Amino acid sequence: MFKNIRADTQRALHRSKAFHSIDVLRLLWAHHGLQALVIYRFGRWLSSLHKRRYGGAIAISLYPAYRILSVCVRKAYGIDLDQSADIAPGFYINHFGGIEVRNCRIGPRCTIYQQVKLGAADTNDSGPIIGEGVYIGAHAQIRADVSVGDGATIGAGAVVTQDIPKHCLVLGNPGRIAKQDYDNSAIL
Amino acid sequence: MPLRTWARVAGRSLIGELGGKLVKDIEIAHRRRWPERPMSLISCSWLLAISPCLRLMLTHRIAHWLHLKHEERGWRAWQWYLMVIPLKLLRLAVEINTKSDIASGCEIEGGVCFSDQGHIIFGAGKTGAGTVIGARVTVGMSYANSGSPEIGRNVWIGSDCVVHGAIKIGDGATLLPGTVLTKSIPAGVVMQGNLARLVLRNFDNSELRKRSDPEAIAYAKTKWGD
Repeated sequence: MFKNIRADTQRALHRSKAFHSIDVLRLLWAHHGLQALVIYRFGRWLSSLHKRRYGGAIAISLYPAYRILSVCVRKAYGIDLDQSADIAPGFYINHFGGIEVRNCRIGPRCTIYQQVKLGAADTNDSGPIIGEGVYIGAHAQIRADVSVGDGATIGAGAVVTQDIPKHCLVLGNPGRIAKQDYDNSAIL
Repeated sequence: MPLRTWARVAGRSLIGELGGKLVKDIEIAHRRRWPERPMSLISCSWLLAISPCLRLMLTHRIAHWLHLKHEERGWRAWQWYLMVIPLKLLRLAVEINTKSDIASGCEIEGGVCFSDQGHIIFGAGKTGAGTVIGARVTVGMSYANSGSPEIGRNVWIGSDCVVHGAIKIGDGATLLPGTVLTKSIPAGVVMQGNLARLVLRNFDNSELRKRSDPEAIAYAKTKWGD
Protein backbone atom coordinates (compact mmCIF):
# COMPACT_ATOMS: atom_id res chain seq x y z
CA MET A 1 0.00 0.00 0.00
CA PHE A 2 2.66 2.54 1.04
CA LYS A 3 4.82 1.76 -1.96
CA ASN A 4 1.90 2.42 -4.29
CA ILE A 5 0.92 5.61 -2.50
CA ARG A 6 4.49 6.85 -2.70
CA ALA A 7 4.53 6.23 -6.44
CA ASP A 8 1.22 8.11 -6.84
CA THR A 9 2.48 11.04 -4.78
CA GLN A 10 5.70 11.24 -6.74
CA ARG A 11 3.70 11.29 -9.93
CA ALA A 12 1.49 14.11 -8.63
CA LEU A 13 4.54 16.05 -7.45
CA HIS A 14 6.12 15.68 -10.83
CA ARG A 15 2.94 16.85 -12.57
CA SER A 16 2.61 19.94 -10.42
CA LYS A 17 6.31 20.72 -10.90
CA ALA A 18 6.96 20.83 -7.16
CA PHE A 19 9.87 19.09 -5.55
CA HIS A 20 10.00 20.32 -1.95
CA SER A 21 9.09 17.98 0.84
CA ILE A 22 6.46 20.44 2.18
CA ASP A 23 4.64 20.07 -1.13
CA VAL A 24 3.81 16.46 -0.26
CA LEU A 25 1.70 17.73 2.64
CA ARG A 26 0.17 20.41 0.46
CA LEU A 27 -0.80 17.83 -2.15
CA LEU A 28 -2.30 15.45 0.39
CA TRP A 29 -4.32 18.36 1.78
CA ALA A 30 -5.41 19.96 -1.48
CA HIS A 31 -5.26 17.36 -4.26
CA HIS A 32 -8.64 15.66 -4.45
CA GLY A 33 -7.49 12.99 -6.89
CA LEU A 34 -4.63 11.93 -4.66
CA GLN A 35 -6.90 11.74 -1.63
CA ALA A 36 -9.31 9.50 -3.49
CA LEU A 37 -6.44 7.32 -4.63
CA VAL A 38 -5.03 6.97 -1.11
CA ILE A 39 -8.41 5.79 0.14
CA TYR A 40 -8.72 3.36 -2.77
CA ARG A 41 -5.27 1.93 -1.97
CA PHE A 42 -6.29 1.59 1.67
CA GLY A 43 -9.33 -0.43 0.63
CA ARG A 44 -7.24 -2.69 -1.61
CA TRP A 45 -4.78 -3.21 1.22
CA LEU A 46 -7.62 -4.23 3.55
CA SER A 47 -8.89 -6.81 1.09
CA SER A 48 -5.38 -8.30 0.75
CA LEU A 49 -4.90 -8.54 4.53
CA HIS A 50 -6.57 -11.91 5.02
CA LYS A 51 -3.42 -13.77 4.01
CA ARG A 52 -1.64 -12.57 7.15
CA ARG A 53 -2.04 -13.69 10.72
CA TYR A 54 -4.91 -11.82 12.45
CA GLY A 55 -5.36 -10.04 9.12
CA GLY A 56 -9.05 -10.83 8.99
CA ALA A 57 -9.68 -9.24 12.37
CA ILE A 58 -7.76 -6.10 11.41
CA ALA A 59 -9.58 -5.88 8.10
CA ILE A 60 -13.00 -6.21 9.71
CA SER A 61 -12.23 -3.54 12.29
CA LEU A 62 -10.89 -1.09 9.72
CA TYR A 63 -13.45 -1.79 7.02
CA PRO A 64 -16.13 0.66 8.33
CA ALA A 65 -13.56 3.48 8.26
CA TYR A 66 -12.79 2.69 4.64
CA ARG A 67 -16.49 2.62 3.73
CA ILE A 68 -17.15 5.99 5.34
CA LEU A 69 -14.11 7.59 3.71
CA SER A 70 -14.90 6.22 0.27
CA VAL A 71 -18.50 7.42 0.47
CA CYS A 72 -17.24 10.87 1.53
CA VAL A 73 -14.89 11.06 -1.43
CA ARG A 74 -17.55 9.85 -3.83
CA LYS A 75 -20.12 12.35 -2.65
CA ALA A 76 -17.80 15.29 -2.09
CA TYR A 77 -15.49 15.09 -5.08
CA GLY A 78 -17.41 12.86 -7.47
CA ILE A 79 -14.45 10.48 -7.84
CA ASP A 80 -15.64 6.89 -7.80
CA LEU A 81 -12.71 4.45 -7.72
CA ASP A 82 -14.36 1.10 -7.25
CA GLN A 83 -12.54 -1.82 -5.61
CA SER A 84 -13.20 -3.94 -8.68
CA ALA A 85 -10.71 -1.82 -10.61
CA ASP A 86 -7.08 -2.86 -10.55
CA ILE A 87 -4.93 0.26 -10.68
CA ALA A 88 -1.15 -0.02 -10.92
CA PRO A 89 1.07 2.47 -9.03
CA GLY A 90 1.78 5.90 -10.46
CA PHE A 91 -1.82 6.75 -11.28
CA TYR A 92 -2.73 10.41 -11.58
CA ILE A 93 -6.18 12.01 -11.48
CA ASN A 94 -6.34 15.59 -12.65
CA HIS A 95 -9.28 17.65 -11.40
CA PHE A 96 -12.38 15.98 -10.04
CA GLY A 97 -16.06 15.39 -10.69
CA GLY A 98 -17.86 12.63 -12.55
CA ILE A 99 -14.97 10.15 -12.56
CA GLU A 100 -15.98 6.48 -12.59
CA VAL A 101 -13.39 3.72 -12.60
CA ARG A 102 -14.66 0.18 -12.12
CA ASN A 103 -14.14 -3.31 -13.49
CA CYS A 104 -10.95 -2.60 -15.38
CA ARG A 105 -7.22 -3.07 -15.27
CA ILE A 106 -4.95 -0.05 -15.56
CA GLY A 107 -1.20 -0.13 -16.12
CA PRO A 108 1.39 2.02 -14.37
CA ARG A 109 1.81 5.76 -14.97
CA CYS A 110 -1.60 6.53 -16.44
CA THR A 111 -3.34 9.89 -16.32
CA ILE A 112 -7.08 10.51 -16.28
CA TYR A 113 -9.06 13.72 -16.21
CA GLN A 114 -12.48 14.80 -15.00
CA GLN A 115 -15.67 13.10 -16.25
CA VAL A 116 -13.75 10.01 -17.43
CA LYS A 117 -15.77 6.79 -17.37
CA LEU A 118 -13.80 3.54 -17.38
CA GLY A 119 -15.48 0.14 -17.33
CA ALA A 120 -19.12 -0.81 -17.28
CA ALA A 121 -21.03 -1.17 -14.02
CA ASP A 122 -23.26 -4.10 -14.92
CA THR A 123 -21.08 -6.74 -16.59
CA ASN A 124 -19.29 -9.88 -15.49
CA ASP A 125 -16.60 -9.46 -18.12
CA SER A 126 -13.08 -8.39 -17.41
CA GLY A 127 -13.69 -4.85 -18.64
CA PRO A 128 -11.18 -2.66 -20.45
CA ILE A 129 -7.48 -3.36 -20.11
CA ILE A 130 -5.34 -0.26 -20.27
CA GLY A 131 -1.61 -0.36 -20.86
CA GLU A 132 1.30 1.60 -19.48
CA GLY A 133 1.57 5.38 -19.72
CA VAL A 134 -1.87 5.98 -21.26
CA TYR A 135 -3.29 9.50 -21.30
CA ILE A 136 -7.08 9.67 -21.10
CA GLY A 137 -8.46 13.17 -21.70
CA ALA A 138 -11.48 14.83 -20.14
CA HIS A 139 -14.96 13.38 -20.80
CA ALA A 140 -13.52 10.27 -22.48
CA GLN A 141 -15.40 6.99 -22.12
CA ILE A 142 -14.10 3.43 -22.33
CA ARG A 143 -17.06 1.20 -21.51
CA ALA A 144 -16.50 -1.79 -23.80
CA ASP A 145 -14.16 -4.75 -23.26
CA VAL A 146 -11.27 -3.38 -25.27
CA SER A 147 -7.54 -3.23 -24.72
CA VAL A 148 -5.64 0.01 -25.03
CA GLY A 149 -1.96 -0.31 -25.89
CA ASP A 150 1.01 1.23 -24.08
CA GLY A 151 1.54 4.94 -24.57
CA ALA A 152 -1.80 5.51 -26.30
CA THR A 153 -3.53 8.89 -26.08
CA ILE A 154 -7.31 9.08 -25.78
CA GLY A 155 -8.36 12.60 -26.73
CA ALA A 156 -10.91 14.69 -24.86
CA GLY A 157 -14.46 13.48 -25.32
CA ALA A 158 -13.47 10.33 -27.22
CA VAL A 159 -15.60 7.20 -26.88
CA VAL A 160 -13.45 4.11 -27.42
CA THR A 161 -15.24 1.09 -28.89
CA GLN A 162 -12.39 -0.86 -30.49
CA ASP A 163 -8.94 -2.13 -29.57
CA ILE A 164 -6.27 0.55 -29.71
CA PRO A 165 -2.70 -0.38 -30.68
CA LYS A 166 0.37 1.12 -29.02
CA HIS A 167 1.22 4.83 -29.31
CA CYS A 168 -1.97 5.88 -31.13
CA LEU A 169 -4.02 9.05 -30.82
CA VAL A 170 -7.77 8.44 -30.65
CA LEU A 171 -10.32 11.18 -31.21
CA GLY A 172 -14.05 11.54 -31.69
CA ASN A 173 -17.24 9.64 -31.07
CA PRO A 174 -17.06 6.78 -32.08
CA GLY A 175 -13.31 6.85 -31.48
CA ARG A 176 -11.13 6.65 -34.57
CA ILE A 177 -7.37 6.47 -34.72
CA ALA A 178 -6.32 9.92 -35.85
CA LYS A 179 -2.56 9.39 -35.74
CA GLN A 180 -0.10 6.53 -35.39
CA ASP A 181 3.12 7.02 -33.42
CA TYR A 182 1.85 9.86 -31.30
CA ASP A 183 4.24 10.80 -28.48
CA ASN A 184 2.33 11.67 -25.31
CA SER A 185 5.30 12.17 -23.00
CA ALA A 186 4.78 15.97 -22.99
CA ILE A 187 1.20 15.81 -21.72
CA LEU A 188 1.37 12.70 -19.54
CA MET B 1 -8.20 60.40 6.56
CA PRO B 2 -10.81 62.49 4.73
CA LEU B 3 -13.99 60.88 3.55
CA ARG B 4 -13.20 61.22 -0.13
CA THR B 5 -9.97 59.25 0.20
CA TRP B 6 -11.85 56.55 2.05
CA ALA B 7 -14.41 56.42 -0.69
CA ARG B 8 -11.68 56.12 -3.29
CA VAL B 9 -9.99 53.31 -1.39
CA ALA B 10 -13.31 51.51 -1.00
CA GLY B 11 -14.11 52.10 -4.64
CA ARG B 12 -10.88 50.47 -5.70
CA SER B 13 -11.14 47.71 -3.16
CA LEU B 14 -12.87 44.37 -3.16
CA ILE B 15 -16.45 45.52 -2.75
CA GLY B 16 -16.31 48.31 -5.29
CA GLU B 17 -14.57 46.23 -7.90
CA LEU B 18 -16.59 43.05 -7.47
CA GLY B 19 -19.96 44.53 -6.59
CA GLY B 20 -20.67 45.86 -10.05
CA LYS B 21 -19.73 42.61 -11.75
CA LEU B 22 -21.66 40.49 -9.29
CA VAL B 23 -24.80 42.61 -9.68
CA LYS B 24 -24.70 41.87 -13.40
CA ASP B 25 -24.30 38.14 -12.68
CA ILE B 26 -27.29 38.21 -10.36
CA GLU B 27 -29.31 40.12 -12.93
CA ILE B 28 -28.74 37.49 -15.61
CA ALA B 29 -29.31 34.55 -13.27
CA HIS B 30 -32.50 36.20 -12.00
CA ARG B 31 -33.82 36.71 -15.53
CA ARG B 32 -33.06 33.11 -16.43
CA ARG B 33 -34.63 31.64 -13.33
CA TRP B 34 -37.74 33.77 -12.97
CA PRO B 35 -38.36 35.51 -16.31
CA GLU B 36 -41.50 37.36 -15.25
CA ARG B 37 -40.66 38.23 -11.64
CA PRO B 38 -39.37 41.78 -11.06
CA MET B 39 -35.99 42.12 -9.38
CA SER B 40 -36.07 43.18 -5.75
CA LEU B 41 -33.57 43.12 -2.94
CA ILE B 42 -35.35 40.18 -1.31
CA SER B 43 -35.51 38.05 -4.44
CA CYS B 44 -31.87 38.83 -5.28
CA SER B 45 -30.62 37.85 -1.85
CA TRP B 46 -32.78 34.71 -1.95
CA LEU B 47 -31.25 33.85 -5.31
CA LEU B 48 -27.76 34.38 -3.93
CA ALA B 49 -28.64 32.01 -1.10
CA ILE B 50 -30.07 29.19 -3.22
CA SER B 51 -28.01 29.35 -6.40
CA PRO B 52 -24.72 27.41 -6.38
CA CYS B 53 -23.55 29.10 -9.58
CA LEU B 54 -23.70 32.53 -7.99
CA ARG B 55 -21.81 31.25 -4.97
CA LEU B 56 -19.17 29.90 -7.35
CA MET B 57 -19.05 33.23 -9.14
CA LEU B 58 -18.69 35.21 -5.91
CA THR B 59 -15.83 33.01 -4.72
CA HIS B 60 -14.12 33.22 -8.06
CA ARG B 61 -14.37 37.01 -8.10
CA ILE B 62 -12.71 37.24 -4.70
CA ALA B 63 -10.05 34.70 -5.69
CA HIS B 64 -9.34 36.53 -8.94
CA TRP B 65 -9.05 39.88 -7.19
CA LEU B 66 -6.57 38.38 -4.74
CA HIS B 67 -4.72 36.70 -7.61
CA LEU B 68 -4.21 40.07 -9.31
CA LYS B 69 -3.11 41.64 -6.01
CA HIS B 70 -0.58 38.88 -5.56
CA GLU B 71 0.77 39.40 -9.06
CA GLU B 72 1.23 43.11 -8.40
CA ARG B 73 3.51 42.16 -5.48
CA GLY B 74 2.54 45.31 -3.66
CA TRP B 75 1.38 43.18 -0.78
CA ARG B 76 3.43 41.89 2.05
CA ALA B 77 3.55 38.15 2.56
CA TRP B 78 1.73 38.11 5.88
CA GLN B 79 -1.20 40.06 4.40
CA TRP B 80 -1.38 37.53 1.61
CA TYR B 81 -1.39 34.52 3.95
CA LEU B 82 -3.97 36.20 6.16
CA MET B 83 -6.42 36.30 3.27
CA VAL B 84 -5.40 33.17 1.43
CA ILE B 85 -6.20 30.66 4.16
CA PRO B 86 -9.87 31.65 4.66
CA LEU B 87 -10.21 31.90 0.90
CA LYS B 88 -8.87 28.36 0.48
CA LEU B 89 -11.46 27.08 2.92
CA LEU B 90 -14.22 29.01 1.17
CA ARG B 91 -13.12 27.69 -2.20
CA LEU B 92 -12.98 24.14 -0.89
CA ALA B 93 -16.55 24.44 0.38
CA VAL B 94 -17.76 25.83 -2.93
CA GLU B 95 -15.78 23.24 -4.90
CA ILE B 96 -17.40 20.42 -2.98
CA ASN B 97 -20.80 22.06 -3.20
CA THR B 98 -20.78 22.61 -6.96
CA LYS B 99 -18.08 20.09 -8.05
CA SER B 100 -16.63 22.87 -10.16
CA ASP B 101 -13.30 24.57 -10.28
CA ILE B 102 -12.54 27.93 -11.84
CA ALA B 103 -8.85 28.79 -12.13
CA SER B 104 -8.18 31.99 -10.22
CA GLY B 105 -6.36 33.51 -13.19
CA CYS B 106 -9.51 33.58 -15.38
CA GLU B 107 -10.73 36.99 -16.39
CA ILE B 108 -14.51 36.88 -16.37
CA GLU B 109 -16.54 39.97 -17.23
CA GLY B 110 -19.69 40.82 -15.31
CA GLY B 111 -22.86 39.04 -16.35
CA VAL B 112 -21.64 35.48 -16.99
CA CYS B 113 -23.88 32.62 -15.96
CA PHE B 114 -22.75 29.12 -15.00
CA SER B 115 -25.09 26.18 -14.70
CA ASP B 116 -26.42 25.39 -11.24
CA GLN B 117 -25.76 21.68 -11.80
CA GLY B 118 -22.03 22.30 -11.66
CA HIS B 119 -19.23 19.86 -12.66
CA ILE B 120 -17.58 22.74 -14.53
CA ILE B 121 -13.81 22.88 -14.88
CA PHE B 122 -13.07 26.30 -16.22
CA GLY B 123 -9.70 27.71 -17.22
CA ALA B 124 -10.43 30.16 -20.03
CA GLY B 125 -8.20 33.17 -20.41
CA LYS B 126 -10.98 35.69 -21.01
CA THR B 127 -14.74 35.40 -20.96
CA GLY B 128 -17.07 38.06 -22.33
CA ALA B 129 -20.26 39.35 -20.78
CA GLY B 130 -23.55 37.56 -21.41
CA THR B 131 -21.98 34.13 -21.83
CA VAL B 132 -23.96 31.17 -20.54
CA ILE B 133 -22.16 27.93 -19.66
CA GLY B 134 -23.93 24.64 -19.10
CA ALA B 135 -23.32 21.72 -16.77
CA ARG B 136 -20.33 19.33 -17.04
CA VAL B 137 -18.35 21.68 -19.27
CA THR B 138 -14.57 21.65 -19.50
CA VAL B 139 -12.78 24.71 -20.79
CA GLY B 140 -9.01 24.84 -20.76
CA MET B 141 -6.75 21.76 -20.67
CA SER B 142 -3.60 23.79 -21.17
CA TYR B 143 -1.04 21.57 -19.45
CA ALA B 144 1.02 20.86 -22.54
CA ASN B 145 0.46 23.66 -25.03
CA SER B 146 0.31 26.43 -22.41
CA GLY B 147 -2.51 28.33 -24.06
CA SER B 148 -6.06 28.75 -22.86
CA PRO B 149 -9.22 29.49 -24.85
CA GLU B 150 -10.71 32.94 -25.13
CA ILE B 151 -14.48 33.16 -25.13
CA GLY B 152 -16.27 36.15 -26.67
CA ARG B 153 -19.47 37.83 -25.58
CA ASN B 154 -22.95 36.29 -25.64
CA VAL B 155 -21.69 32.76 -26.26
CA TRP B 156 -23.94 29.84 -25.34
CA ILE B 157 -22.09 26.65 -24.38
CA GLY B 158 -24.34 23.64 -23.87
CA SER B 159 -23.82 20.85 -21.38
CA ASP B 160 -21.06 18.21 -21.74
CA CYS B 161 -18.93 20.42 -23.99
CA VAL B 162 -15.15 20.35 -24.05
CA VAL B 163 -13.23 23.38 -25.31
CA HIS B 164 -9.47 23.07 -25.26
CA GLY B 165 -6.35 24.50 -26.78
CA ALA B 166 -5.31 28.10 -27.42
CA ILE B 167 -8.39 29.02 -29.46
CA LYS B 168 -10.83 31.88 -29.81
CA ILE B 169 -14.61 31.63 -29.77
CA GLY B 170 -16.27 34.56 -31.56
CA ASP B 171 -19.07 36.70 -30.13
CA GLY B 172 -22.50 35.13 -30.15
CA ALA B 173 -21.34 31.63 -31.08
CA THR B 174 -23.34 28.59 -29.99
CA LEU B 175 -21.96 25.20 -28.96
CA LEU B 176 -24.72 22.59 -28.90
CA PRO B 177 -24.57 19.99 -26.08
CA GLY B 178 -21.81 17.41 -26.36
CA THR B 179 -19.48 19.38 -28.62
CA VAL B 180 -15.71 18.92 -28.50
CA LEU B 181 -14.12 22.06 -29.91
CA THR B 182 -10.41 22.35 -30.66
CA LYS B 183 -10.34 25.04 -33.37
CA SER B 184 -11.11 28.75 -33.43
CA ILE B 185 -14.59 29.69 -34.62
CA PRO B 186 -15.92 33.02 -35.94
CA ALA B 187 -18.80 35.02 -34.50
CA GLY B 188 -22.39 33.83 -34.70
CA VAL B 189 -21.87 30.19 -35.78
CA VAL B 190 -23.48 27.04 -34.39
CA MET B 191 -21.21 24.03 -33.82
CA GLN B 192 -22.16 20.46 -33.04
CA GLY B 193 -20.63 17.03 -32.63
CA ASN B 194 -17.62 15.32 -31.18
CA LEU B 195 -14.93 16.85 -33.33
CA ALA B 196 -17.11 19.87 -33.92
CA ARG B 197 -18.77 20.50 -37.26
CA LEU B 198 -20.34 23.71 -38.44
CA VAL B 199 -24.13 23.55 -38.45
CA LEU B 200 -25.28 27.07 -39.14
CA ARG B 201 -23.96 30.58 -39.66
CA ASN B 202 -25.34 33.88 -38.38
CA PHE B 203 -27.56 32.36 -35.73
CA ASP B 204 -29.05 34.56 -33.04
CA ASN B 205 -28.75 32.67 -29.74
CA SER B 206 -30.48 35.21 -27.50
CA GLU B 207 -33.46 32.84 -27.23
CA LEU B 208 -31.22 30.07 -25.91
CA ARG B 209 -29.42 32.31 -23.46
CA LYS B 210 -32.67 33.58 -21.99
CA ARG B 211 -34.01 30.16 -21.06
CA SER B 212 -33.03 27.95 -18.17
CA ASP B 213 -30.82 24.96 -18.98
CA PRO B 214 -33.32 22.09 -19.52
CA GLU B 215 -35.64 24.31 -21.54
CA ALA B 216 -32.80 25.57 -23.70
CA ILE B 217 -31.61 22.02 -24.43
CA ALA B 218 -35.16 20.97 -25.33
CA TYR B 219 -35.39 24.03 -27.59
CA ALA B 220 -32.11 23.15 -29.29
CA LYS B 221 -33.33 19.57 -29.80
CA THR B 222 -36.54 20.69 -31.51
CA LYS B 223 -34.48 22.92 -33.77
CA TRP B 224 -31.70 20.52 -34.77
CA GLY B 225 -33.03 17.06 -33.94
CA ASP B 226 -30.74 15.01 -31.73
